Amino acid sequence: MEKRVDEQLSGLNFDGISEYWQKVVDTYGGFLPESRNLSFKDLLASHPNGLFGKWLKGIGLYLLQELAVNGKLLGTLIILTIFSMLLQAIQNAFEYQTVSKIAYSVIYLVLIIVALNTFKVAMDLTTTAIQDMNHFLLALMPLILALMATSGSVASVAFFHPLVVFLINVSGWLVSSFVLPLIFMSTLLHIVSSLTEHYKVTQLANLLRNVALGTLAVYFAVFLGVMSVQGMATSVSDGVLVKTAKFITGNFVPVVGRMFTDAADTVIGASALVKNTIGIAGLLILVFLVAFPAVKVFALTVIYNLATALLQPLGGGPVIQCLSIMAKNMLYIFAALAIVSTMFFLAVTIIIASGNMSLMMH
Amino acid sequence: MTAIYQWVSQIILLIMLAIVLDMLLPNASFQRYVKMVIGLVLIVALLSPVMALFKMPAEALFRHITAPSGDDPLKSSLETKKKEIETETRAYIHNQMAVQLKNYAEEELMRRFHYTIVSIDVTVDDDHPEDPVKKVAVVLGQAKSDSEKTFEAVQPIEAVRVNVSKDSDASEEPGAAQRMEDVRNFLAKTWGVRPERIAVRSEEGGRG
Repeated sequence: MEKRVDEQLSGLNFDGISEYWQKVVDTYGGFLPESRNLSFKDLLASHPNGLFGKWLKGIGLYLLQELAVNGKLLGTLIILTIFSMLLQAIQNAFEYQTVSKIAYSVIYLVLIIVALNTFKVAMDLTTTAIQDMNHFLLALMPLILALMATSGSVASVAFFHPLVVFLINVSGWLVSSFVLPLIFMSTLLHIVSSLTEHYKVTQLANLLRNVALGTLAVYFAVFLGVMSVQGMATSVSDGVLVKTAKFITGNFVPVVGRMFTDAADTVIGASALVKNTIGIAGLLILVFLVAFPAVKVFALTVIYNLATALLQPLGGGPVIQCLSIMAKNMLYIFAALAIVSTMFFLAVTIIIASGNMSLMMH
Repeated sequence: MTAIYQWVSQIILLIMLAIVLDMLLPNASFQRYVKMVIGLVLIVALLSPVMALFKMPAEALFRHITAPSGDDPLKSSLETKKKEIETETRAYIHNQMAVQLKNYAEEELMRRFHYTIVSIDVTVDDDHPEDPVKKVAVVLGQAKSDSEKTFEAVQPIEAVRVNVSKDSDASEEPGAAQRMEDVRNFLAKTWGVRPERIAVRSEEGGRG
Protein backbone atom coordinates (compact mmCIF):
# COMPACT_ATOMS: atom_id res chain seq x y z
CA MET A 1 0.00 0.00 0.00
CA GLU A 2 2.71 2.49 0.98
CA LYS A 3 4.66 1.63 -2.10
CA ARG A 4 1.60 2.31 -4.15
CA VAL A 5 1.07 5.67 -2.42
CA ASP A 6 4.63 6.73 -3.18
CA GLU A 7 4.25 5.52 -6.73
CA GLN A 8 1.12 7.53 -7.27
CA LEU A 9 2.52 10.64 -5.59
CA SER A 10 5.56 10.60 -7.81
CA GLY A 11 3.41 10.05 -10.87
CA LEU A 12 1.15 13.05 -10.30
CA ASN A 13 1.74 16.45 -11.78
CA PHE A 14 1.88 19.17 -9.12
CA ASP A 15 3.00 22.14 -11.21
CA GLY A 16 -0.10 24.19 -10.59
CA ILE A 17 0.04 23.80 -6.83
CA SER A 18 3.73 23.92 -6.14
CA GLU A 19 3.81 27.28 -7.89
CA TYR A 20 1.80 28.76 -5.03
CA TRP A 21 3.98 27.16 -2.38
CA GLN A 22 6.96 28.64 -4.18
CA LYS A 23 5.26 32.02 -4.13
CA VAL A 24 4.65 31.82 -0.38
CA VAL A 25 8.22 30.76 0.25
CA ASP A 26 9.62 33.47 -2.03
CA THR A 27 7.55 36.27 -0.51
CA TYR A 28 7.67 35.37 3.15
CA GLY A 29 10.75 33.17 3.22
CA GLY A 30 12.39 35.49 5.73
CA PHE A 31 9.79 34.55 8.31
CA LEU A 32 9.82 30.86 7.49
CA PRO A 33 13.53 30.09 7.47
CA GLU A 34 13.15 26.35 7.92
CA SER A 35 10.71 26.11 5.01
CA ARG A 36 12.73 28.12 2.56
CA ASN A 37 14.48 25.12 1.11
CA LEU A 38 11.42 22.91 1.30
CA SER A 39 10.01 22.04 -2.11
CA PHE A 40 6.39 21.08 -2.49
CA LYS A 41 7.22 17.38 -2.65
CA ASP A 42 9.23 17.71 0.55
CA LEU A 43 6.25 19.41 2.12
CA LEU A 44 4.10 16.43 1.21
CA ALA A 45 6.61 14.06 2.73
CA SER A 46 7.35 16.12 5.82
CA HIS A 47 5.51 15.76 9.05
CA PRO A 48 3.94 19.16 9.66
CA ASN A 49 3.57 18.69 13.40
CA GLY A 50 7.21 19.51 14.01
CA LEU A 51 7.01 22.61 11.84
CA PHE A 52 3.84 24.10 13.29
CA GLY A 53 5.54 25.84 16.18
CA LYS A 54 8.11 27.39 13.88
CA TRP A 55 5.46 28.57 11.46
CA LEU A 56 3.47 30.16 14.26
CA LYS A 57 6.62 31.88 15.43
CA GLY A 58 7.25 33.15 11.90
CA ILE A 59 3.75 34.60 11.68
CA GLY A 60 4.16 36.22 15.11
CA LEU A 61 7.44 37.77 13.94
CA TYR A 62 5.67 39.09 10.87
CA LEU A 63 3.00 40.70 13.05
CA LEU A 64 5.64 42.42 15.18
CA GLN A 65 7.46 43.62 12.09
CA GLU A 66 4.28 45.01 10.57
CA LEU A 67 3.47 46.80 13.81
CA ALA A 68 6.95 48.33 13.81
CA VAL A 69 6.62 49.42 10.18
CA ASN A 70 3.23 50.94 10.81
CA GLY A 71 4.56 52.79 13.84
CA LYS A 72 5.32 55.61 11.42
CA LEU A 73 1.65 55.76 10.55
CA LEU A 74 0.80 55.87 14.23
CA GLY A 75 3.22 58.76 14.69
CA THR A 76 1.66 60.69 11.80
CA LEU A 77 -1.80 60.19 13.20
CA ILE A 78 -0.80 61.31 16.68
CA ILE A 79 1.02 64.42 15.49
CA LEU A 80 -1.79 65.48 13.19
CA THR A 81 -4.34 65.03 15.94
CA ILE A 82 -2.28 67.00 18.44
CA PHE A 83 -1.92 69.83 15.91
CA SER A 84 -5.62 69.92 15.31
CA MET A 85 -6.26 69.93 19.05
CA LEU A 86 -3.77 72.77 19.53
CA LEU A 87 -5.52 74.76 16.84
CA GLN A 88 -8.81 74.15 18.50
CA ALA A 89 -7.41 75.24 21.84
CA ILE A 90 -6.03 78.54 20.57
CA GLN A 91 -9.08 79.16 18.44
CA ASN A 92 -10.18 81.94 20.72
CA ALA A 93 -6.94 83.83 20.11
CA PHE A 94 -7.95 84.49 16.50
CA GLU A 95 -10.13 87.42 15.81
CA TYR A 96 -12.21 85.60 13.25
CA GLN A 97 -13.46 82.24 14.36
CA THR A 98 -14.07 81.06 10.80
CA VAL A 99 -10.36 81.32 9.93
CA SER A 100 -9.38 78.89 12.65
CA LYS A 101 -12.27 76.68 11.65
CA ILE A 102 -10.93 76.46 8.11
CA ALA A 103 -7.42 75.73 9.34
CA TYR A 104 -8.83 73.01 11.48
CA SER A 105 -10.71 71.51 8.52
CA VAL A 106 -7.55 71.49 6.41
CA ILE A 107 -5.68 69.47 9.02
CA TYR A 108 -8.66 67.26 9.34
CA LEU A 109 -8.69 66.64 5.58
CA VAL A 110 -5.00 65.68 5.62
CA LEU A 111 -5.76 63.23 8.39
CA ILE A 112 -8.62 61.76 6.41
CA ILE A 113 -6.42 61.32 3.35
CA VAL A 114 -3.79 59.48 5.37
CA ALA A 115 -6.44 57.29 6.92
CA LEU A 116 -8.17 56.55 3.63
CA ASN A 117 -4.85 55.62 2.06
CA THR A 118 -4.25 52.92 4.63
CA PHE A 119 -7.84 51.85 4.22
CA LYS A 120 -7.24 51.41 0.52
CA VAL A 121 -4.10 49.40 1.26
CA ALA A 122 -6.10 47.09 3.51
CA MET A 123 -8.76 46.68 0.83
CA ASP A 124 -6.21 45.85 -1.84
CA LEU A 125 -4.50 43.36 0.44
CA THR A 126 -7.80 41.63 1.09
CA THR A 127 -8.75 41.52 -2.56
CA THR A 128 -5.41 40.09 -3.65
CA ALA A 129 -5.42 37.56 -0.83
CA ILE A 130 -8.85 36.35 -1.86
CA GLN A 131 -7.86 36.23 -5.51
CA ASP A 132 -4.76 34.23 -4.62
CA MET A 133 -6.89 31.78 -2.71
CA ASN A 134 -9.28 31.57 -5.65
CA HIS A 135 -6.56 30.71 -8.10
CA PHE A 136 -4.99 28.28 -5.73
CA LEU A 137 -8.27 26.46 -5.19
CA LEU A 138 -8.77 26.34 -8.95
CA ALA A 139 -5.42 24.60 -9.20
CA LEU A 140 -5.97 22.28 -6.25
CA MET A 141 -9.55 21.19 -6.80
CA PRO A 142 -9.17 19.22 -10.05
CA LEU A 143 -6.49 17.10 -8.43
CA ILE A 144 -8.48 16.35 -5.28
CA LEU A 145 -11.74 15.77 -7.11
CA ALA A 146 -10.03 13.52 -9.64
CA LEU A 147 -8.45 11.50 -6.85
CA MET A 148 -11.85 11.25 -5.20
CA ALA A 149 -13.40 10.06 -8.43
CA THR A 150 -10.80 7.35 -8.76
CA SER A 151 -11.40 6.25 -5.19
CA GLY A 152 -15.05 5.68 -6.00
CA SER A 153 -16.74 8.90 -4.88
CA VAL A 154 -18.41 9.58 -8.20
CA ALA A 155 -21.60 11.10 -6.82
CA SER A 156 -19.65 13.32 -4.42
CA VAL A 157 -17.54 14.67 -7.25
CA ALA A 158 -20.64 15.31 -9.33
CA PHE A 159 -22.09 17.19 -6.38
CA PHE A 160 -19.01 19.09 -5.22
CA HIS A 161 -17.77 20.14 -8.60
CA PRO A 162 -20.48 22.71 -9.48
CA LEU A 163 -20.61 23.87 -5.86
CA VAL A 164 -16.90 24.50 -5.71
CA VAL A 165 -16.97 26.37 -8.99
CA PHE A 166 -19.84 28.44 -7.63
CA LEU A 167 -18.03 29.10 -4.37
CA ILE A 168 -14.81 30.14 -6.04
CA ASN A 169 -16.43 32.39 -8.61
CA VAL A 170 -18.99 34.02 -6.39
CA SER A 171 -16.97 34.54 -3.23
CA GLY A 172 -14.21 36.39 -5.05
CA TRP A 173 -16.70 38.55 -6.87
CA LEU A 174 -18.87 39.09 -3.79
CA VAL A 175 -16.07 40.28 -1.58
CA SER A 176 -14.04 42.32 -4.00
CA SER A 177 -16.87 44.09 -5.77
CA PHE A 178 -19.71 44.08 -3.29
CA VAL A 179 -18.75 43.75 0.35
CA LEU A 180 -15.53 45.75 0.36
CA PRO A 181 -16.89 48.68 -1.69
CA LEU A 182 -19.95 48.85 0.54
CA ILE A 183 -17.78 48.94 3.66
CA PHE A 184 -15.62 51.57 2.00
CA MET A 185 -18.64 53.73 1.14
CA SER A 186 -19.99 53.30 4.63
CA THR A 187 -16.65 54.53 5.97
CA LEU A 188 -16.73 57.53 3.68
CA LEU A 189 -20.25 58.43 4.73
CA HIS A 190 -19.35 58.10 8.39
CA ILE A 191 -16.33 60.36 7.97
CA VAL A 192 -18.26 62.98 6.05
CA SER A 193 -20.94 62.90 8.71
CA SER A 194 -18.34 63.49 11.38
CA LEU A 195 -17.32 66.69 9.54
CA THR A 196 -20.61 68.40 10.14
CA GLU A 197 -23.08 68.55 12.94
CA HIS A 198 -26.12 69.38 10.88
CA TYR A 199 -26.17 66.94 8.01
CA LYS A 200 -25.65 63.45 9.28
CA VAL A 201 -25.86 60.35 7.08
CA THR A 202 -24.65 57.87 9.66
CA GLN A 203 -27.83 55.83 9.39
CA LEU A 204 -27.30 55.34 5.67
CA ALA A 205 -23.70 54.37 6.41
CA ASN A 206 -24.86 51.81 8.96
CA LEU A 207 -27.37 50.46 6.48
CA LEU A 208 -24.70 49.94 3.82
CA ARG A 209 -22.41 48.25 6.30
CA ASN A 210 -25.12 45.97 7.62
CA VAL A 211 -26.10 44.98 4.09
CA ALA A 212 -22.50 44.09 3.30
CA LEU A 213 -21.90 42.06 6.44
CA GLY A 214 -25.33 40.44 6.35
CA THR A 215 -24.84 39.28 2.77
CA LEU A 216 -21.52 37.76 3.65
CA ALA A 217 -22.90 36.01 6.73
CA VAL A 218 -25.92 34.60 4.92
CA TYR A 219 -23.80 33.39 2.03
CA PHE A 220 -21.41 31.75 4.46
CA ALA A 221 -24.13 30.01 6.48
CA VAL A 222 -26.22 28.77 3.57
CA PHE A 223 -23.27 27.61 1.59
CA LEU A 224 -21.55 25.67 4.33
CA GLY A 225 -24.83 24.19 5.51
CA VAL A 226 -25.71 22.86 2.07
CA MET A 227 -22.19 21.67 1.48
CA SER A 228 -21.77 19.76 4.73
CA VAL A 229 -25.19 18.12 4.94
CA GLN A 230 -25.58 17.29 1.27
CA GLY A 231 -21.91 16.35 0.97
CA MET A 232 -22.23 13.77 3.71
CA ALA A 233 -25.38 12.34 2.13
CA THR A 234 -23.77 11.89 -1.29
CA SER A 235 -20.65 10.43 0.24
CA VAL A 236 -22.70 7.80 2.03
CA SER A 237 -24.48 6.87 -1.18
CA ASP A 238 -21.09 6.65 -2.87
CA GLY A 239 -19.88 4.29 -0.19
CA VAL A 240 -22.91 2.05 -0.64
CA LEU A 241 -22.47 2.07 -4.40
CA VAL A 242 -18.85 0.99 -4.25
CA LYS A 243 -19.72 -1.61 -1.65
CA THR A 244 -22.39 -3.19 -3.83
CA ALA A 245 -20.13 -3.20 -6.84
CA LYS A 246 -17.47 -4.91 -4.80
CA PHE A 247 -19.92 -7.40 -3.38
CA ILE A 248 -21.16 -8.36 -6.83
CA THR A 249 -17.69 -8.74 -8.26
CA GLY A 250 -16.30 -10.58 -5.27
CA ASN A 251 -19.16 -13.04 -5.00
CA PHE A 252 -20.35 -13.79 -8.48
CA VAL A 253 -17.02 -14.00 -10.21
CA PRO A 254 -15.19 -16.58 -8.17
CA VAL A 255 -11.42 -16.27 -8.48
CA VAL A 256 -10.69 -13.40 -10.78
CA GLY A 257 -13.38 -11.30 -9.18
CA ARG A 258 -11.72 -11.48 -5.81
CA MET A 259 -8.36 -10.64 -7.29
CA PHE A 260 -9.90 -7.75 -9.11
CA THR A 261 -11.53 -6.36 -5.99
CA ASP A 262 -8.29 -6.82 -4.05
CA ALA A 263 -6.32 -4.83 -6.59
CA ALA A 264 -9.05 -2.22 -6.88
CA ASP A 265 -9.20 -1.95 -3.11
CA THR A 266 -5.51 -1.19 -2.88
CA VAL A 267 -5.92 1.46 -5.53
CA ILE A 268 -8.88 3.05 -3.78
CA GLY A 269 -7.15 3.08 -0.41
CA ALA A 270 -3.96 4.48 -1.87
CA SER A 271 -5.84 7.13 -3.81
CA ALA A 272 -7.62 8.17 -0.64
CA LEU A 273 -4.32 8.42 1.23
CA VAL A 274 -2.77 10.44 -1.57
CA LYS A 275 -5.83 12.67 -1.61
CA ASN A 276 -5.53 13.25 2.13
CA THR A 277 -1.83 14.03 1.88
CA ILE A 278 -2.37 16.50 -0.94
CA GLY A 279 -5.42 17.93 0.77
CA ILE A 280 -3.56 18.64 3.98
CA ALA A 281 -0.67 20.21 2.12
CA GLY A 282 -3.21 22.26 0.19
CA LEU A 283 -4.85 23.44 3.38
CA LEU A 284 -1.45 24.48 4.70
CA ILE A 285 -0.72 26.52 1.60
CA LEU A 286 -4.19 28.05 1.79
CA VAL A 287 -3.51 29.11 5.36
CA PHE A 288 -0.18 30.64 4.38
CA LEU A 289 -1.72 32.50 1.45
CA VAL A 290 -4.19 34.19 3.72
CA ALA A 291 -2.24 34.39 6.99
CA PHE A 292 0.26 37.06 6.00
CA PRO A 293 -2.16 39.54 4.40
CA ALA A 294 -4.55 38.97 7.29
CA VAL A 295 -1.81 39.70 9.79
CA LYS A 296 -0.99 42.88 7.90
CA VAL A 297 -4.60 44.07 7.94
CA PHE A 298 -4.80 43.12 11.59
CA ALA A 299 -1.69 45.18 12.34
CA LEU A 300 -3.35 48.21 10.70
CA THR A 301 -6.45 47.64 12.80
CA VAL A 302 -4.34 47.49 15.93
CA ILE A 303 -2.59 50.73 14.99
CA TYR A 304 -5.87 52.58 14.52
CA ASN A 305 -7.35 51.24 17.72
CA LEU A 306 -4.19 52.20 19.55
CA ALA A 307 -4.26 55.70 18.10
CA THR A 308 -7.89 56.14 19.12
CA ALA A 309 -7.19 54.93 22.63
CA LEU A 310 -4.09 57.08 23.02
CA LEU A 311 -5.61 60.29 21.71
CA GLN A 312 -8.94 60.23 23.43
CA PRO A 313 -7.67 62.00 26.60
CA LEU A 314 -6.91 65.02 24.40
CA GLY A 315 -10.62 65.47 24.02
CA GLY A 316 -13.32 64.05 21.75
CA GLY A 317 -14.26 65.86 18.61
CA PRO A 318 -14.42 64.79 14.99
CA VAL A 319 -10.80 63.65 14.75
CA ILE A 320 -11.14 60.99 17.40
CA GLN A 321 -14.46 60.01 15.97
CA CYS A 322 -12.91 59.63 12.53
CA LEU A 323 -10.08 57.47 13.88
CA SER A 324 -12.45 55.23 15.75
CA ILE A 325 -14.58 54.82 12.61
CA MET A 326 -11.49 53.86 10.67
CA ALA A 327 -10.52 51.34 13.32
CA LYS A 328 -13.96 49.80 13.33
CA ASN A 329 -14.27 49.51 9.57
CA MET A 330 -10.77 48.17 9.23
CA LEU A 331 -11.85 45.44 11.60
CA TYR A 332 -14.80 44.70 9.30
CA ILE A 333 -12.45 44.30 6.36
CA PHE A 334 -10.38 41.92 8.44
CA ALA A 335 -13.56 40.05 9.31
CA ALA A 336 -14.54 39.77 5.63
CA LEU A 337 -11.15 38.31 4.81
CA ALA A 338 -11.36 35.94 7.76
CA ILE A 339 -14.86 34.78 6.82
CA VAL A 340 -13.95 34.06 3.21
CA SER A 341 -10.78 32.22 4.12
CA THR A 342 -12.62 30.21 6.75
CA MET A 343 -15.18 29.34 4.12
CA PHE A 344 -12.52 28.12 1.71
CA PHE A 345 -10.77 26.23 4.46
CA LEU A 346 -13.94 24.49 5.61
CA ALA A 347 -14.97 23.73 2.04
CA VAL A 348 -11.70 21.93 1.37
CA THR A 349 -11.95 20.13 4.70
CA ILE A 350 -15.49 19.00 4.00
CA ILE A 351 -14.53 17.71 0.57
CA ILE A 352 -11.62 15.73 1.97
CA ALA A 353 -13.66 14.40 4.86
CA SER A 354 -16.57 13.34 2.71
CA GLY A 355 -14.20 11.32 0.53
CA ASN A 356 -12.96 9.54 3.64
CA MET A 357 -16.50 9.04 4.83
CA SER A 358 -17.49 7.12 1.71
CA LEU A 359 -14.42 4.93 2.22
CA MET A 360 -15.52 4.18 5.74
CA MET A 361 -18.74 2.72 4.41
CA HIS A 362 -16.83 -0.04 2.64
CA MET B 1 -22.44 48.58 -8.17
CA THR B 2 -21.46 51.62 -10.20
CA ALA B 3 -24.95 53.00 -9.60
CA ILE B 4 -24.44 52.77 -5.84
CA TYR B 5 -21.03 54.37 -6.21
CA GLN B 6 -22.50 57.28 -8.09
CA TRP B 7 -25.29 57.68 -5.62
CA VAL B 8 -23.00 57.67 -2.58
CA SER B 9 -20.49 60.03 -4.17
CA GLN B 10 -23.35 62.39 -5.04
CA ILE B 11 -24.44 62.42 -1.41
CA ILE B 12 -20.90 62.96 -0.19
CA LEU B 13 -20.40 65.87 -2.59
CA LEU B 14 -23.63 67.46 -1.45
CA ILE B 15 -22.60 67.24 2.18
CA MET B 16 -19.20 68.73 1.41
CA LEU B 17 -20.96 71.55 -0.36
CA ALA B 18 -23.15 72.07 2.66
CA ILE B 19 -20.11 72.20 4.91
CA VAL B 20 -18.44 74.82 2.73
CA LEU B 21 -21.69 76.77 2.62
CA ASP B 22 -21.82 76.64 6.40
CA MET B 23 -18.38 78.18 6.60
CA LEU B 24 -19.15 80.86 4.03
CA LEU B 25 -22.34 82.08 5.66
CA PRO B 26 -21.50 84.95 7.96
CA ASN B 27 -24.87 85.34 9.58
CA ALA B 28 -26.25 82.74 11.94
CA SER B 29 -29.81 83.80 11.31
CA PHE B 30 -29.58 82.64 7.68
CA GLN B 31 -28.40 79.22 8.67
CA ARG B 32 -31.78 77.92 9.69
CA TYR B 33 -33.14 78.34 6.17
CA VAL B 34 -29.99 77.09 4.47
CA LYS B 35 -30.10 74.04 6.66
CA MET B 36 -33.68 73.37 5.70
CA VAL B 37 -33.01 73.72 1.95
CA ILE B 38 -29.91 71.57 1.99
CA GLY B 39 -31.72 68.98 4.05
CA LEU B 40 -34.45 68.81 1.43
CA VAL B 41 -31.91 68.51 -1.39
CA LEU B 42 -30.21 65.71 0.52
CA ILE B 43 -33.49 63.85 0.88
CA VAL B 44 -34.07 64.08 -2.87
CA ALA B 45 -30.55 62.77 -3.48
CA LEU B 46 -31.11 59.93 -1.05
CA LEU B 47 -34.41 59.04 -2.63
CA SER B 48 -33.22 59.10 -6.24
CA PRO B 49 -32.38 55.37 -6.45
CA VAL B 50 -35.74 54.50 -4.95
CA MET B 51 -37.43 56.59 -7.62
CA ALA B 52 -35.33 54.92 -10.31
CA LEU B 53 -36.34 51.56 -8.89
CA PHE B 54 -40.03 52.35 -9.34
CA LYS B 55 -39.51 53.45 -12.92
CA MET B 56 -37.47 50.47 -13.95
CA PRO B 57 -39.24 47.24 -14.93
CA ALA B 58 -38.32 44.31 -12.71
CA GLU B 59 -36.76 42.22 -15.47
CA ALA B 60 -34.33 44.95 -16.34
CA LEU B 61 -33.28 45.07 -12.72
CA PHE B 62 -32.46 41.40 -12.64
CA ARG B 63 -30.65 41.62 -15.92
CA HIS B 64 -28.19 43.91 -14.20
CA ILE B 65 -27.68 41.67 -11.22
CA THR B 66 -26.18 38.59 -12.74
CA ALA B 67 -23.40 36.64 -11.23
CA PRO B 68 -20.21 36.70 -13.24
CA SER B 69 -20.46 33.96 -15.79
CA GLY B 70 -17.36 32.49 -17.21
CA ASP B 71 -16.39 29.30 -18.90
CA ASP B 72 -15.62 26.52 -16.52
CA PRO B 73 -11.89 26.13 -16.26
CA LEU B 74 -12.24 23.61 -13.48
CA LYS B 75 -14.20 21.09 -15.44
CA SER B 76 -11.79 20.56 -18.30
CA SER B 77 -8.79 20.40 -16.02
CA LEU B 78 -10.68 18.04 -13.72
CA GLU B 79 -11.35 15.77 -16.68
CA THR B 80 -7.74 15.68 -17.82
CA LYS B 81 -6.48 15.07 -14.30
CA LYS B 82 -9.02 12.34 -13.82
CA LYS B 83 -8.02 10.67 -17.06
CA GLU B 84 -4.37 10.85 -16.10
CA ILE B 85 -4.96 9.28 -12.72
CA GLU B 86 -7.36 6.71 -14.09
CA THR B 87 -5.00 5.40 -16.75
CA GLU B 88 -2.32 5.17 -14.13
CA THR B 89 -4.47 3.30 -11.63
CA ARG B 90 -5.85 1.03 -14.34
CA ALA B 91 -2.33 0.07 -15.34
CA TYR B 92 -1.63 -0.64 -11.70
CA ILE B 93 -4.75 -2.81 -11.33
CA HIS B 94 -3.80 -4.77 -14.44
CA ASN B 95 -0.31 -5.39 -13.24
CA GLN B 96 -1.51 -6.36 -9.83
CA MET B 97 -4.09 -8.74 -11.25
CA ALA B 98 -1.59 -10.30 -13.58
CA VAL B 99 0.75 -10.95 -10.68
CA GLN B 100 -2.02 -12.46 -8.61
CA LEU B 101 -3.32 -14.62 -11.44
CA LYS B 102 0.17 -15.85 -12.10
CA ASN B 103 0.80 -16.72 -8.46
CA TYR B 104 -2.51 -18.49 -8.27
CA ALA B 105 -2.01 -20.82 -11.21
CA GLU B 106 1.72 -21.17 -11.50
CA GLU B 107 2.40 -24.07 -9.17
CA GLU B 108 -0.34 -26.27 -10.48
CA LEU B 109 0.54 -25.48 -14.06
CA MET B 110 4.11 -26.43 -13.40
CA ARG B 111 3.14 -29.69 -11.80
CA ARG B 112 0.69 -30.78 -14.44
CA PHE B 113 1.97 -29.41 -17.70
CA HIS B 114 5.48 -28.38 -16.94
CA TYR B 115 4.96 -24.84 -18.16
CA THR B 116 5.67 -21.52 -16.57
CA ILE B 117 3.86 -18.31 -17.24
CA VAL B 118 6.14 -15.80 -18.88
CA SER B 119 3.65 -12.94 -19.05
CA ILE B 120 -0.01 -12.26 -18.58
CA ASP B 121 -1.93 -9.44 -20.17
CA VAL B 122 -5.34 -8.82 -18.62
CA THR B 123 -7.99 -6.71 -20.28
CA VAL B 124 -10.40 -5.41 -17.68
CA ASP B 125 -13.81 -3.97 -18.35
CA ASP B 126 -14.44 -1.43 -15.59
CA ASP B 127 -18.00 -0.78 -16.57
CA HIS B 128 -19.23 -4.26 -15.69
CA PRO B 129 -18.22 -5.05 -12.15
CA GLU B 130 -20.13 -8.32 -12.23
CA ASP B 131 -17.91 -9.61 -15.02
CA PRO B 132 -14.70 -7.66 -14.91
CA VAL B 133 -12.29 -9.75 -16.97
CA LYS B 134 -12.68 -9.48 -20.71
CA LYS B 135 -9.62 -11.16 -22.02
CA VAL B 136 -6.51 -12.79 -20.61
CA ALA B 137 -3.57 -13.33 -22.91
CA VAL B 138 -1.06 -15.78 -21.48
CA VAL B 139 2.41 -16.46 -22.81
CA LEU B 140 3.81 -19.76 -21.65
CA GLY B 141 7.39 -20.78 -21.38
CA GLN B 142 9.05 -24.12 -20.85
CA ALA B 143 9.56 -24.81 -17.20
CA LYS B 144 12.83 -25.84 -15.74
CA SER B 145 12.75 -28.09 -12.79
CA ASP B 146 14.23 -26.91 -9.54
CA SER B 147 17.43 -28.87 -9.94
CA GLU B 148 17.94 -27.44 -13.39
CA LYS B 149 17.33 -23.97 -12.10
CA THR B 150 20.04 -24.28 -9.52
CA PHE B 151 22.31 -25.66 -12.12
CA GLU B 152 21.54 -22.84 -14.42
CA ALA B 153 23.01 -20.42 -12.00
CA VAL B 154 26.27 -22.30 -12.05
CA GLN B 155 26.34 -23.65 -15.55
CA PRO B 156 24.30 -21.65 -18.00
CA ILE B 157 25.41 -23.77 -20.91
CA GLU B 158 23.61 -26.81 -19.62
CA ALA B 159 20.37 -24.88 -19.43
CA VAL B 160 20.63 -24.04 -23.09
CA ARG B 161 21.08 -27.67 -23.95
CA VAL B 162 17.96 -28.60 -22.04
CA ASN B 163 15.95 -25.91 -23.75
CA VAL B 164 16.96 -27.10 -27.17
CA SER B 165 15.86 -30.63 -26.46
CA LYS B 166 12.53 -29.50 -25.07
CA ASP B 167 12.02 -27.16 -27.97
CA SER B 168 12.49 -29.87 -30.57
CA ASP B 169 10.23 -32.00 -28.48
CA ALA B 170 7.43 -29.45 -28.67
CA SER B 171 7.69 -28.86 -32.39
CA GLU B 172 7.79 -32.52 -33.27
CA GLU B 173 4.89 -33.46 -31.10
CA PRO B 174 1.67 -33.50 -33.10
CA GLY B 175 -0.42 -32.87 -29.97
CA ALA B 176 1.09 -29.45 -29.23
CA ALA B 177 -2.12 -27.67 -30.09
CA GLN B 178 -4.07 -30.14 -28.01
CA ARG B 179 -1.72 -29.49 -25.15
CA MET B 180 -2.30 -25.78 -25.38
CA GLU B 181 -6.02 -26.43 -25.37
CA ASP B 182 -5.61 -28.47 -22.20
CA VAL B 183 -3.66 -25.67 -20.58
CA ARG B 184 -6.33 -23.23 -21.57
CA ASN B 185 -9.08 -25.29 -20.07
CA PHE B 186 -7.08 -25.81 -16.93
CA LEU B 187 -6.45 -22.06 -16.57
CA ALA B 188 -10.09 -21.32 -17.23
CA LYS B 189 -11.10 -23.68 -14.48
CA THR B 190 -8.58 -22.37 -11.97
CA TRP B 191 -9.29 -18.73 -12.59
CA GLY B 192 -13.00 -19.06 -13.09
CA VAL B 193 -12.90 -17.35 -16.48
CA ARG B 194 -14.64 -18.67 -19.57
CA PRO B 195 -12.11 -20.50 -21.77
CA GLU B 196 -12.88 -18.51 -24.90
CA ARG B 197 -11.65 -15.43 -23.10
CA ILE B 198 -8.21 -16.90 -22.55
CA ALA B 199 -5.62 -16.79 -25.24
CA VAL B 200 -2.68 -19.10 -24.61
CA ARG B 201 0.49 -18.81 -26.58
CA SER B 202 3.72 -20.59 -26.10
CA GLU B 203 6.87 -18.56 -26.04
CA GLU B 204 8.19 -20.43 -29.07
CA GLY B 205 5.22 -19.46 -31.12
CA GLY B 206 2.79 -22.35 -30.63
CA ARG B 207 -0.82 -21.23 -30.40
CA GLY B 208 -3.70 -22.69 -28.53
